[in-house]
Amino acid sequence: MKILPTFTEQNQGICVLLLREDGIDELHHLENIWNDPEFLLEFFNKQKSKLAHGIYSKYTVREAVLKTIKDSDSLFDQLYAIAERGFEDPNDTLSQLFFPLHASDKKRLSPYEQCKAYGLKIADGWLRLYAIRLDANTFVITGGGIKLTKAMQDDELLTLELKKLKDTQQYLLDNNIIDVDDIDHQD
Amino acid sequence: MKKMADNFNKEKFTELVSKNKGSEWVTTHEKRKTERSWKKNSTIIALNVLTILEQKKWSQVRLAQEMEVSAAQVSKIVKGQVNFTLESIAKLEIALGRKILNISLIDSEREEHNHEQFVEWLEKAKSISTNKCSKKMLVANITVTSSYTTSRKVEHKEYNLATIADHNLRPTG
Repeated sequence: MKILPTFTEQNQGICVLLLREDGIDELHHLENIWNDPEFLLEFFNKQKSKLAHGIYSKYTVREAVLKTIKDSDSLFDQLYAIAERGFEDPNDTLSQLFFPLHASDKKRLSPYEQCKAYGLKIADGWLRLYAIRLDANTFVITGGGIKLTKAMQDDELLTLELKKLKDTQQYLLDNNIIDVDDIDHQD
Repeated sequence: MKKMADNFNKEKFTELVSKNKGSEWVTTHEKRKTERSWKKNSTIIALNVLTILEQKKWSQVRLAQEMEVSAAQVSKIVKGQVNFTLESIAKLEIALGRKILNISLIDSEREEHNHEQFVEWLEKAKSISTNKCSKKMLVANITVTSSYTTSRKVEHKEYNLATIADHNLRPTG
């Protein structure tokens, strides 16, 4: 597992995880596939029943492809814009974009460190970025996915994302970047 | 909302992260933004090509052969990464036997003609919808003649075709 810096000037900002075999980091990889009509067409064809029977049933497979590309542009633009503006304004932090992943599950060991971002002002957004929050402007993005089901556990790929979040948290613990006390205190 | 933890070990984190090469995401995202204006259309062409390939049951390799280009070039097409020229679009259309790109001609003279024709239709429609050509009158435009065989009476209907055609062709919308 490797964590790569993105905006490094202030030693903070978005950091991304690299554990892919092809050597492409998670954020780069996600923007690639979410802009790839061939990949997305195959993906939504495979997920056709989830698309047709869930809350997104009004979209056809091809519309879903175009929507994903459009939403991905908005999401990554927002992330880029905040990071590019720098981190001096305490009200203009990356935390605007990220929300706790386990908001309703307060008994979990680490409710506030696993986060998700789905972009602001995106109607019917199904794109998610998953991250571990270290402070208001430091996030380790562990991956992301297209969430068509209500619970992450209902989707094979998203279940893997949950595991990646957990593994990254463990990696940060192992490297003494966070400790168990930090996590416990939040409950 | 509870306050999130702000007490991670920043020093150790910086040390751990800074030894790695920076993510390529920032530069690719900047590049992507500049290409967006044409990539939108390239994406739709990609989807249409994939749909046509599926309908024709062709592989991408087959398309590459038909177009006499490399498989890698076809892969770029279906990934929406090609900034086409008119020539390359024509080549693609010939290979697929389908129109990919439609450009409409800006022609105000044609629009005027169409408008005039529409007004003409409307005038005609007005005259058709008078009593002269009501459904009753249409019935009246049928002439029935009868002839007899040994067992039964056979009716021949003759229509006044001009009136009926006018009625049938009246603008309805």
